[in-house]
Amino acid sequence: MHAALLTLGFGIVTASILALSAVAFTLQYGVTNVANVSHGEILTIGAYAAYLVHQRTGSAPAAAIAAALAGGLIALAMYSSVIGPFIRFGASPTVIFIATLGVSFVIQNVLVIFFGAANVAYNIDPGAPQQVGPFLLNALDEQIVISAVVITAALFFIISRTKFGKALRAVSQNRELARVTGINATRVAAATFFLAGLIAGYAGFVLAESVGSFTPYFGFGFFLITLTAAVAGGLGRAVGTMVGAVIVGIILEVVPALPVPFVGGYISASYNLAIAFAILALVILFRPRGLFTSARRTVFE
Amino acid sequence: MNLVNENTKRQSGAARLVASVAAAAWVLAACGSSTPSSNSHLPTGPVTMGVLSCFTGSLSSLGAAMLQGSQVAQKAINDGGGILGQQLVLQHADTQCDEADGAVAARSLLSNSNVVGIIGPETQEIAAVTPIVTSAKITTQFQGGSTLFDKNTNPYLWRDSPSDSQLGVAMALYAYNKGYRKADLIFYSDIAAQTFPPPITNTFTKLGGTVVKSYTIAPAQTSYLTTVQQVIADSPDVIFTQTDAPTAAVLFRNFQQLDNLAIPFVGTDVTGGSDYLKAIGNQVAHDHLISVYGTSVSGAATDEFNRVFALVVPGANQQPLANANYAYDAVISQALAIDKANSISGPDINAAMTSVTNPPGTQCYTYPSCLALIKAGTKINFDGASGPLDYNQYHNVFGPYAAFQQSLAGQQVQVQLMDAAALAAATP
Amino acid sequence: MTTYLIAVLTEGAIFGIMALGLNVIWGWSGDFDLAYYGYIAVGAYMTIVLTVGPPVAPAQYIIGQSLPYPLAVVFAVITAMAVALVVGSIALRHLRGIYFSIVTLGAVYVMYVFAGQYVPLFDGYNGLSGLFDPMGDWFGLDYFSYQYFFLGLSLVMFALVYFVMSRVSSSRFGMALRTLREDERAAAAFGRDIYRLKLKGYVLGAALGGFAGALFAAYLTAFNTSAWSPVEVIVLYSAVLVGGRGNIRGVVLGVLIMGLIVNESTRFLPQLPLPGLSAFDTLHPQVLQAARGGIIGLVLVLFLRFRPQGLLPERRFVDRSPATPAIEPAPLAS
Repeated sequence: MHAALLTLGFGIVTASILALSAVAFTLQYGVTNVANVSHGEILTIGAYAAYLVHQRTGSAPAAAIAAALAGGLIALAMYSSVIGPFIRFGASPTVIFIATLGVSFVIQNVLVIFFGAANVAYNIDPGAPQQVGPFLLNALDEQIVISAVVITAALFFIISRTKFGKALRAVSQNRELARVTGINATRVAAATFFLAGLIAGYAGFVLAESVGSFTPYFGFGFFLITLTAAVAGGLGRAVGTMVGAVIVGIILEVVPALPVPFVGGYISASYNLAIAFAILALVILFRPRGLFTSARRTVFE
Repeated sequence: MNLVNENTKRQSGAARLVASVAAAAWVLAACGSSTPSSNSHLPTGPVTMGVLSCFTGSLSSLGAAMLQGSQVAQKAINDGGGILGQQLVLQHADTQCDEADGAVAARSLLSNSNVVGIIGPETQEIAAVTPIVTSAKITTQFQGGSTLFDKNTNPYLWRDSPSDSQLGVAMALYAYNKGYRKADLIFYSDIAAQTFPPPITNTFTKLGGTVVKSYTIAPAQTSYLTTVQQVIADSPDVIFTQTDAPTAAVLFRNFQQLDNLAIPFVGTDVTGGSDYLKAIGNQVAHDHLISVYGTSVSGAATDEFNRVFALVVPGANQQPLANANYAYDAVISQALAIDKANSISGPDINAAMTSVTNPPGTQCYTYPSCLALIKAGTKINFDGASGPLDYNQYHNVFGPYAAFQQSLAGQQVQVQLMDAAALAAATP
Repeated sequence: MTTYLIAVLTEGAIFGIMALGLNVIWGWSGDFDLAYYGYIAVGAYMTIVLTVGPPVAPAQYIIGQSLPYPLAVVFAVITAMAVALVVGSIALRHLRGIYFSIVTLGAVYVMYVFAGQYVPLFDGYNGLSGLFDPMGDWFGLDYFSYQYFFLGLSLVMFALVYFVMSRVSSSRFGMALRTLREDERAAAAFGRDIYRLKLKGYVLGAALGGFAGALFAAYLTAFNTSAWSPVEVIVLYSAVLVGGRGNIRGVVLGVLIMGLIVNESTRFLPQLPLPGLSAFDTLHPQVLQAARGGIIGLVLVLFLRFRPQGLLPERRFVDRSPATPAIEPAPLAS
């Protein structure tokens, strides 16, 4: 039982980072109907920005802010230069999906040009592990979980209580209708992207901190898990996404610990991502609107 | 509907395409020669060698190291009199760490740059590159550790870095000598995960230890806590490991969280690399990690390597990239083979290789001194910065291995030497 | 220059077959299938295990027969089609758009992980090798003549596939696929069994992929998971896009431009006669290589934005026959 709880605890940390990334992805999807494949690159850029600032100033909070700002700016740029124009020009979501794949490729290679393809080490002392209830967490883990909760709460407040949040929800549900009521859908979408970018950039900083080193390709790898969490939670639904993130995060920790009669012993942890994808496929096939939603979004988009 | 016209237009269009394509094929066949222009025996201009490796992709540090080592050798050679009186030029081609690009890159080096020798490629690409270099009869210094190469019978392929199988034997021997008897293995899901566990396990078991379990982890995950927990539950005395740097960062962090890094680690040349050490941190490396890899017999060659390195990469605190010395030795030995054969024809160079690297002969450690001996007609035995370079019948090298610990000042310091005889005795 | 050119052209022909197959699924059926490269890989792996004979330790792999190459190719194609049938029957039943793409991405990722991790299958990350000059000994060819032979063979195969595809394109099946793409609901209203049609198209595309994979394996003499790299995949998809999805002539043009010109010419960037370029490249070898990847991504985005139909847009079938009245006018009563 103790081991099971420990594993659960580990899962929660992964899930927190995942939740931040997934909710940012889902915000973008909600407001444009586009799955932004270059979402992972927002995290990568956040990580590099944090690294540069940390090198100059030695201050982790400054690095975190830099990461968030860099993420916000690059997400805004993605919207204004690629996704927005494509939407205005009437491209289908699938076409924009492919275009963001191209953008992802460009960003990765630009980062390679400037920073090299080898990994960059980002070492922040994580602090000694302590018992927090039945879990074993260190200061870094606590920071991650707490900040994830705070950001989530703030986001929830913004979405449900502010005028901007109302406009965001309106545009997410029906863009045309929102326009008719006088909402500038483009402005709202751009602002949403900036907001999502802030969160994703911060997630990149947190991920780099906890992993300890990164390369220009590391955001893309994390994107695949993010996608799983977002789809499992229900694309476009922020709350569901976060629950999806928690579930996926825990599953990714728990599965390698399960005894299974597979090649004698345990499923090797290297099948992790494959398992994540299997989950993704199952969810899409049987509950494509997400595990927790009753949305009437059709699958034929 | 008037589809009939569209159809016939399509068909005649397709037929024309087929015809023109077939014609092109015949034309090419007609004007192509059936053998490549063979290198004439003496160079009429600068001599070119090719560096074939990944320069983009997650293993790009290998390519960077290979190129750097080759450049150091290039400086040593050009300052030391050149090859057959000509300067050495290096041409590099990116395989992108994949076979398909590797094959094209190799062909590009051969036909566009007329290289007389190749340094590289890595393990992923070697299968596809082999037939290309063999048919062109170009000496190729493979730089990968794959154990599949241990019984290599291809005369044109050489490997001046020791096989991962030997490295596995050395790791097991070191751990056993240290008194460890129970071991776990943690390797990441890559070709390394296939090559290391068998020799480590077999050797350790032969010596009398037990391997509890071998774990394979996926690279670049955010947490390995569950695997780490399982390892701790096995209560091993030592953990054998190789992963890439980002994976190591997380792994060590997780171990720190769960058992304060109580179990010592024994790693490979990869764990002794600068990016790996940077990723886990100097203090951690110093206190908990020993890296085992090949070393040189005498210091003279290494000193020369470092001396020329400082000329190529000036600046205080500049360290050569890990494994750059293997590329350095590869280029020097190829250059010496060319000098000895007095020819840049592929088969001649290849035939001359062992006559400059293997005993008997006068040992020499630097390019200028070896060249002088060759010109004087003396048989030499070049010992390089990475080892004695004595090739066996499979064109593999063996050599002493050493255990290295990271000093607090940031250098790898040798703490124990295991000589070739001890290794041979331990090999199952 | 010659051996290099021959290699590039051979690869181009094989690439062309891949693109034509992808065109069936993406161009005609309109489904952005990310699992496509998996079928190429299946074709390549199966061809090798069927021709190189039993494994020599420490290598491990399944089957291990020494069949003649053409027979192995047939079996490889059938295997690719079988895998596609499994994936397609799941993914095509209800999914379209990005959900379809994501599920196919998952499928190919699982295939990739299995091929690399599960060693007894295809020797894991080492991959397979040893497919030297298949059919070369029938004609008594040495290594160099074989390169020409194989180039000719690949070009002929490509022309054959092109010819067959042009027939399929104007056949009822080809047209039906395209109507599905335009408007599924209308097609359904006309009584088309959407699922079966799409599945047929999917398996046909996969068959071409498997066939290209079989040729690719012979060209490389080996195959491992590194050959599945993202760059190869993106170049393939860009080729179909740039040339013109749906139009097989466009696809060929796309292969020429993206595969040959953009992909290969950027290999020579370091040799441009610009001052200091060569020194810079030696110091930072990854820059120009990364520029290649960046250029390809950029081309993809620009084309999607400004010329999504590709350079050679699909020919629309236009009914050019003279208008005939629907009902014969009744003759005036005399």
